[in-house]
Amino acid sequence: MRDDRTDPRHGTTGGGTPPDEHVLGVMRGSEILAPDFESRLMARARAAVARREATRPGRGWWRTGRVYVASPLATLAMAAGIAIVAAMATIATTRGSASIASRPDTVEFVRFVLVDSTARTVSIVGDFNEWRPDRTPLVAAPKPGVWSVSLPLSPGRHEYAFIVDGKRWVVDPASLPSSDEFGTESSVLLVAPARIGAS
Amino acid sequence: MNEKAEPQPDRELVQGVRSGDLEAFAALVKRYRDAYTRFAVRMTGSLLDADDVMQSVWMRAFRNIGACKNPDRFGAWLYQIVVNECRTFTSRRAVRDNRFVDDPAETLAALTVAEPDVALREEIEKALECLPADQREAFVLKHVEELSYDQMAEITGVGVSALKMRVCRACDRLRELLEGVHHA
Repeated sequence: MRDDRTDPRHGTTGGGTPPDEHVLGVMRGSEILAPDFESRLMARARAAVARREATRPGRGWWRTGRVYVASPLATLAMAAGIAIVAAMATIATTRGSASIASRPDTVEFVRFVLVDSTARTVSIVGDFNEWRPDRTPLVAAPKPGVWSVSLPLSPGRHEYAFIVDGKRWVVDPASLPSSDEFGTESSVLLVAPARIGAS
Repeated sequence: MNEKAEPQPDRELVQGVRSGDLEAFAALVKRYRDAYTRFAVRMTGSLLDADDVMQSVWMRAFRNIGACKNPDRFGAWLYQIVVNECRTFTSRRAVRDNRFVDDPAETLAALTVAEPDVALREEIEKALECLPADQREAFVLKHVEELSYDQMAEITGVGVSALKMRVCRACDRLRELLEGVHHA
């Protein structure tokens, strides 16, 4: 490899002489990233893959631009269903943990609910489970089409989405939307630190 | 005979990532995890900011792995992304901090604190921050990362003559900024 320091225009005695070796030694000291760097990065990569898979043409029927025809009665029923999802999700995200006391520095239990009468399986993916669809299934309630799960979450901002039937990506209509670098939407939940005795 | 398994070549790992293999991506991350961290820290001024930059670097690499034309030289390709992300970071910060510019002389004078090594390190970081981003980049690549000008030209996309000029100016400015302080 060429040693540019021998270049007559940039020798070691004229202009452009670098700081002394002691200073360079400090500058050349090694720097190590935080131990959790890899796990955080891999969680992001998994999320990117999960989102890309869920929104890939041919898998996400809701993004393929098909036209569905429904009777006025069915439309009304669907609208009611959406309203129920919104209402239940709002209750779940804002009041689901209210009856559980916890310390300010610990987790808060949040109940997630999705109403989808056509679903055979529902799971939730988010930063809290490394966006893995197989980790957190929702449980079917006795009432048909209602799926729920309670999760311990740390205070702060969380992003999540539901996966229906292992492939359909569903954002929570009652939560704040967020989109990633691929333009895929997910939902945002802000968990405030709980106080003992909160009700 | 104690035979060690040959490490999987970058080319194979890159191909793996292209076909959706997250384990291959994890292996590349493990291999190059801290290779460019020092450069990122010297460019951003802190390990915390460097962490953010390196997360973005890897996500860009992951997303655009198809653009890595020569998988055998994945490391050099990644280095280019690191340089670009650091440029983006410093230019954004320059805009953000535009209204809050410190006087370099005052900042350095205020750094005569406790431990000599810590103080020296902070003085050096502040002095590097005083350099224009292009000079800082050229200086760090040349005298901290100890690359040749040809390597620097490949990574930065800047001509050798311009790089030499930047390094020369950076050295002069650094000597001026650090004169005396590290011998105190």
